[in-house]
Amino acid sequence: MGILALTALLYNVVTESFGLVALENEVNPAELAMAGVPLEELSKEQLQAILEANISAGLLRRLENDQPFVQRDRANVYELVLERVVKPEIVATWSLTDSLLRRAAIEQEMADKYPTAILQFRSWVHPDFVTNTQSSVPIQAGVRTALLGSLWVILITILFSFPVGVGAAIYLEEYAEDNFVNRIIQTNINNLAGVPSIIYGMLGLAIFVRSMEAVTSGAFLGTVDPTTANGRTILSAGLTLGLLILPLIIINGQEALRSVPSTLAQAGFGLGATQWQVIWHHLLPSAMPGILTGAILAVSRALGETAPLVVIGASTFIAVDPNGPFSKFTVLPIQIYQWTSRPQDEFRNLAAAAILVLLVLLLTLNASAVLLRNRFSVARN
Amino acid sequence: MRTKLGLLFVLALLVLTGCGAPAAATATESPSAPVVGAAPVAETPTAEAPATSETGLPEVNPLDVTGDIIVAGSSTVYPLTEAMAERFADEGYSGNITIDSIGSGAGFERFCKTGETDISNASRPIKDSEVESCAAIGRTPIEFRVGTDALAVVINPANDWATSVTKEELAALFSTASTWADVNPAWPAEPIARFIPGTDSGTFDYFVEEVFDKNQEPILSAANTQLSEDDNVLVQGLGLCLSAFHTGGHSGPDSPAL
Repeated sequence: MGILALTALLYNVVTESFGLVALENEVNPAELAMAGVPLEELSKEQLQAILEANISAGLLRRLENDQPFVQRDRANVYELVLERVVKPEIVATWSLTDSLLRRAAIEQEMADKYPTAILQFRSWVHPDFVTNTQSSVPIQAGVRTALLGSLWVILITILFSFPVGVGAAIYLEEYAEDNFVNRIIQTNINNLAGVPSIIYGMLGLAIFVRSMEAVTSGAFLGTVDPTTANGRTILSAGLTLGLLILPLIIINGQEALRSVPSTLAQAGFGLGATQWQVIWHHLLPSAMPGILTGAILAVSRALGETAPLVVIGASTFIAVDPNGPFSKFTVLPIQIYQWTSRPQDEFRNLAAAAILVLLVLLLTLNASAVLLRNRFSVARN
Repeated sequence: MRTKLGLLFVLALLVLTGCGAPAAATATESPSAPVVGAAPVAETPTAEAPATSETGLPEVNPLDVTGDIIVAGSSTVYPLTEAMAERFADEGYSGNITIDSIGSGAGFERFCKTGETDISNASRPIKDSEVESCAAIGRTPIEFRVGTDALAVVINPANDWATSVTKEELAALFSTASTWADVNPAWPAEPIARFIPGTDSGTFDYFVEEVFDKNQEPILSAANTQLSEDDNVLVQGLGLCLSAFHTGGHSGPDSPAL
């Protein structure tokens, strides 16, 4: 049943990520012809005149600043005219299934509705999609900033929650006495695993964004950056998600430690090892596969989380790549949500493509964790 | 009833902050504001507007601007702001621009209470209470109208009878009537399905103000009504149900309007 539902979902995502699109030029190149000379054959000066007549003064100034027009060659100016003036735009899109099965009907529709447009097969997931920044023009939009944001956040999350979680599991399992306080702590950890993620978002907002602003904004290092002075940074997000998955990691870690045969520890003690030596050299390596399995599940959950990040103030649009734990950020799930909520079809294709990117990222992370886990298992046997 | 039921003002607020870098950045966004005002519905600004006349601020060369720009607020204005930010960067601005799509009210909260943002997007005018909180932290909001939003009442294409509707009929359509015949005897007795933007949206506020005289009760208690902040839900609902009714913000597609 579950597999059926997942297959349907995957089919939906894939069929939206590829398919035919109708491309139409905003300005017909034929209209730009001067005195009977078609656009392709115009001289550099004529092309430059077209550019000056059609784009804003600010953009001209920027282009001139990048490289003065006198130094640019004809091919370069021609490229600019195509990119800035002719501007191919997507006017209609079709899903993969439709593209394959209803080709004739689509061609008919094209001829009726968009006589000047050209039909093209487009894969919405392509190298440029991963490397381009966010854009309001569907054809140029990409997920680079969101992808980097997701990677940074998940890195902080792992660095924070894995050592702390495993440490807590060892303490609770091996050191803590069975008294009232420890029983309360244990019960609370079990309960925290079931708390809705949005509550963690509020917690993160109160603690990391507001109370610990000096730390999470990086101000304590003396790097006062006005954009991040409010603590809505990758560090806050990573710590919040870390808190969110901490109970999962602790519970899994405890289970894993408990499943190690007690004879192993007793043999260690019998040979005169201290408690820490037994834990570090015997218990932990044996329990590692179990601990890693828990960590994989927890990190996968953190990667798809949107609600707590919205609460602590992830941006929707960000123009510059995040470059450290103190930058502002956006993550893939937020980007996907933003695209799905737009009415234009192209953005739904973009969202589907972004979902595929997120899936690939998730599978890559999981695969590396599984490899790591297998290494541990093999080493012990 | 005309296509245009009324106008919804989309406002962008601009304030000079105390600290150095953002202050320089804020001033620069202003030339874009009237540009967008000239093309209210289009996502990409089209024409260059005179720089100083409307805003009273000098034209700025994005190449010379340093610092970062933080924008937060209305989701209605988000696509517009995104296009503006993109164009500003396109014209040579090298700093970071972030836009948070969190709603008008939340945007003003960050702008006036915590003073985190440089520009606050809103799909309504600023409230007096918000101006006061701004004053409390030493900020004076400056209002820029970047666009005029038309509110369209949209029906399913298969509905061929409702070609003209009065304001009174509109009030009935969105409250007590259960079939179209209840509103106008000349119309068939088809059930009405209503799709309206959520209560947080400026579109909803404006509709209630104009049609129901600021009383939310009738429209909220109407049967067979779906409220959503997600324009997609509304548009799709409209496509599926015959005789559906919907008021949409500016990002809707080309559906027939009354």
